[in-house]
Amino acid sequence: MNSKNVSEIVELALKEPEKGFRLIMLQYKDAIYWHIRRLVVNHDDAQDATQETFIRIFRSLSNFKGKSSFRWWVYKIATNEALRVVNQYQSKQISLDDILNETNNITTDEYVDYNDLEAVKLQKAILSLPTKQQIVFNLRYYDELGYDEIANITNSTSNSAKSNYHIAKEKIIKYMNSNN
Amino acid sequence: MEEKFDFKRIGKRMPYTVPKGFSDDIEKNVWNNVKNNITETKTIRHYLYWGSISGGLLVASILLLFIWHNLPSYQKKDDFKSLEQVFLNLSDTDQNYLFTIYQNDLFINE
Repeated sequence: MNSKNVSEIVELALKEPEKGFRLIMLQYKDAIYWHIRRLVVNHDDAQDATQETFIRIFRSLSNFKGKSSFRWWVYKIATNEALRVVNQYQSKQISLDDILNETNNITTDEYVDYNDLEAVKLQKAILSLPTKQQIVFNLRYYDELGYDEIANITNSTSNSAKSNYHIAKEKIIKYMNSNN
Repeated sequence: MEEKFDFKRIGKRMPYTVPKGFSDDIEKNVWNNVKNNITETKTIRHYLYWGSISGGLLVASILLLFIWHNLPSYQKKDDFKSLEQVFLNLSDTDQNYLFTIYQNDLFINE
């Protein structure tokens, strides 16, 4: 979606809220859900954080002056919401590894297919990275965002984002090739 | 020997699944939350809009009244009164002279 279309949608959302709302949801809802899900793992948490993200977006839409990219603004809010959930878990001293591995407690992660071993291992590899590297890797690998946008979302520089991505990739390859 | 990991093999596949209709639920829940705020904002904007127009009209009216009130007066003066005043401002000699002229004027006294 080019910047002209985005600014038109934002303008529409301000003039005809429901129409604009539907268009924005259509454009970003799934991408934002999966971005958050990759960070928080649990579906219910991801759904809550996604809803909160879009509520925040629509409440502050009139403050979006169009000076920055709408996409990275949306992703930034989503990332902050995901990190809020992650921090809640960390404060309860539950590791994401436990959540992913806990097969007994299906209410925690009933929406994980443990039969896909390689996919499960890859997500574990990503989740073992420092949070910033997880975010950078996910945004680049899954969402195919540019390094400039990733830098804006993660409050870093484009070079730092690039560096983090390549380091993350090497760590993941090492993890996946390990016998663990 | 285990195959070395290759990103191209796995692509973007993830082990995560989702319940049916979750996407619609997200949209519905968000809309239910924001629609009231949007309606309130619309109502406030509506009042502000009409309030601005009314305020503008009121100010314009006051300005017009002010300008109209302070316009130089071009009312038709009482010609006779002004003429009389001019006559009274003349000296006695001039007044007597004019009286003589008027009395001897054939056209006025016809």
